Amino acid sequence: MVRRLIHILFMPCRQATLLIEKRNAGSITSFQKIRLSAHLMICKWCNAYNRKINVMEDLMKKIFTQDAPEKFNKTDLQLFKDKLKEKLK
Amino acid sequence: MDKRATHIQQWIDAYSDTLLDSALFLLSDKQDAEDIVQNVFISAFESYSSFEGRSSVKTWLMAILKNKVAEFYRKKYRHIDNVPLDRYFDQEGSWKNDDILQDWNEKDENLLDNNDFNKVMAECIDKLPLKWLIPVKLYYLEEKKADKVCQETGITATNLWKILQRGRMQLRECLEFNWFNIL
Repeated sequence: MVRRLIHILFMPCRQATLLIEKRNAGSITSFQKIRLSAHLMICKWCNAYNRKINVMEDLMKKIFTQDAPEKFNKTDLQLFKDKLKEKLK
Repeated sequence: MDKRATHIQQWIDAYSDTLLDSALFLLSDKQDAEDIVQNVFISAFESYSSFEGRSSVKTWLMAILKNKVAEFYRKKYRHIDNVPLDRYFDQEGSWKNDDILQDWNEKDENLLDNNDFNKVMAECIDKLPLKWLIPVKLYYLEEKKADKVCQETGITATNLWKILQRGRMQLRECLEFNWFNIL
């Protein structure tokens, strides 16, 4: 019943969670921002999701922007360099 | 050898490892990574004169790499027609179940210092299909400039939001199952 009411009055949760993405990217309009805040105020599901997303956003930002893990072995790397250097003389 | 060829040879020696690791991180395939880094150096060779030294060589080469990855993505996944969310939401768009309400109970602020967590996180990331994973990674690499990612990959803005939303939902689910022991 509560979910149904939220859906009718304050957009479906599927939409609200999309707006969270837009908000975190700074691409949300003022109108959407108000709607999202209203939704989060009354919807405990999206509110819980929002909290978790903030943690995840932080984790993902750190993981995806740090230096990539070293995965190429020395032999492959040398082979790659030698071949390419021969090609681009 | 002329100046251009000498420089390129030096760059191949100096930056191949960083570029290959980054390419592998983005593409999750060794052969694709090698092909794309080779193309990066060929492009750098051909457009050598346009490198004006305004940025560092590494930054310049990384920018070419990001472009090549976006181009690779564009060719491989020409159409992203729908990003299904029915795993999480019912037809009306409401949450299908109450799992989301359970707290993570994670007091530790520095999850990333925990090697076990990093392992779980890496495994969960690897489970995302490349179709979604590449744009998500590019989005962070491009400092969350959505319009830039859209322009490079040819994904519409709406679909990029959906991909981020869907990717994050799946990651969350995987973390809850394998780390937070909720599901």
